[in-house]
Order: sequence, then C-alpha cells, then structure tokens
Amino acid sequence: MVLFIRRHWIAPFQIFGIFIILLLLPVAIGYLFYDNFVIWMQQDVFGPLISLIVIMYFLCVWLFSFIEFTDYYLDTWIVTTERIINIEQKGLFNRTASELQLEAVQDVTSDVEGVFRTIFDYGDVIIQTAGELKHFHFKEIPHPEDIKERIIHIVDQDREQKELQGIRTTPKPRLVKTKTPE
Amino acid sequence: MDIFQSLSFPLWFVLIPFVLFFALFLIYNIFNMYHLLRFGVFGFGLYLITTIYTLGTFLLVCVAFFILVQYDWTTSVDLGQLLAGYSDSIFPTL
Repeated sequence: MVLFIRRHWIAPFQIFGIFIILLLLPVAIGYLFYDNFVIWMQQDVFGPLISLIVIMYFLCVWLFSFIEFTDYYLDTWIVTTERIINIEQKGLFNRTASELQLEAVQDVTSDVEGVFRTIFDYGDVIIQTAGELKHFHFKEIPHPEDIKERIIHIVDQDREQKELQGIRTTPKPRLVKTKTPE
Repeated sequence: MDIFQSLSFPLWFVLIPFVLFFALFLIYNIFNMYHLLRFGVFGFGLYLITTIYTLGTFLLVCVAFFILVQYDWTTSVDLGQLLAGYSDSIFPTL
C-alpha cells in the first residue's frame, strides 16, 4: 500500500459541530421557556410525554451523528503500486467498492475550490479512467495537489516497469489539470 | 367533540410508538456497529470509536430508562380535557 486516504479532518469536525449544536438546541429552548417547562414537567400527562419526546430526540441525534461518522470513516481510497481502490459508504445500506488498474488511468485532476478548502488545503482529486467506471472521485481529501502528484508518479513508475518487462501498455497522452480558485 | 370528551386511555399507550422507535434505534445501532467492525480498519482507532459508541449508547439508554421509570404510566389520559384548549396551568406565562 502506497497511499491510504480518508476525507480531511474537517469532515468529522463538521459532524461533531452539528452534533454539539443539536445537543444544545433543546437545552437552549428549555432555558428560554423555563417557567412553562417546569410546570409542564410536573403535570401527569405532559411530563412523561415531553420526557419521551426529548429522549427520542437525543437518541436520534446520537444515532444519526454516528451514522454520519461511520459514513466518513468507511469512505477510503487506497493507492497501491498496482491499482487504485475506491470504497464508498453511502448511508447504512449502500456500499460501493471498485478497483482500477494503474494502466487504465488516463488523467488526474485536483480541484480546490472555495475559501475554506484553500485555507485548510483540502479538495477533490478526480481520476479519469479508460475502464467502465468513467472516473474515480476522491472527495474532500487533504493535500489534493500532493496526492495528484504522487498518483501520477506511481502511474508513471508502473508504466515504465511494464515497458521494461515488455508488457504492452496503452500509452495515452495524459492531461493533468489543476483547478485552483481565481 | 362529545365522543372525544368521553374517551380516555392509560398513559402507557404512548409507550407503544416509543417501543417501536426504540426497536428501530437498536436495529440501526446493530447495523452501524456491524459496518464499523466488518469494513473498518482494525487498530486503535476502530477500538476507540466502537468503545465510545457502545458506552455512549449504553449510557443514553440507561438515562432514558431511569427517567421513564419514575413516571406513573397507569395514569388515565382524558382526551376531552386535552382537546379543551390551553389552560392557565399549561401556559401560565402567557
């Protein structure tokens, strides 16, 4: 394995931030309507009902935050000296794993758009292929420019090695593009 | 409206949708954990994540149980009283 890539740390940070906001939201509402809230909680019917709703809310926040985190954690891209592996988790019941031989790589594009992405140096890398799957999309990965360069280097090495071994490759002019904010 | 005024049911009826919700919560939890263990990369990171997740879920469920167990779920809910609109006791500050 040459490269093991996950999304930039900003992705779990966003999930954590939203998790904290959603945790504090009912606390803030409770604080705003404190007088009403205390009286409701003392009532025989409304007290248990509000408790049930609040418990369901917190269980939902916990569950969906972790589902989002699992989605982040299981999205991985692996580059080896022979192939590129793209593993994407979409929700709990949808998982895609695809492989691409290095010789099928046609062009590599790195894409950093926006202020945040430029400041924190993260963005997308898109690998165009000659295979059935038109492109591999590395989403929100750290240092996309460096990773693009490394992938090109690995692909070049693989091509040279195969040429030395006499294995016929399909040399194609590879257009390498870099998109940066203007 | 008369038919509603005569209707009443025990409070534990509202626990039925809650139990269904809780069953779904557990199923999703099991799937989430399965995905983490089946497809995650084994190491300290995965160990830490699954531990935090399991402990957090356990803690939440325990807190939920101890909150719910203190109420009297046999209380009868009078639908007519509920539908009678707001009262000073429900919205005292308005």
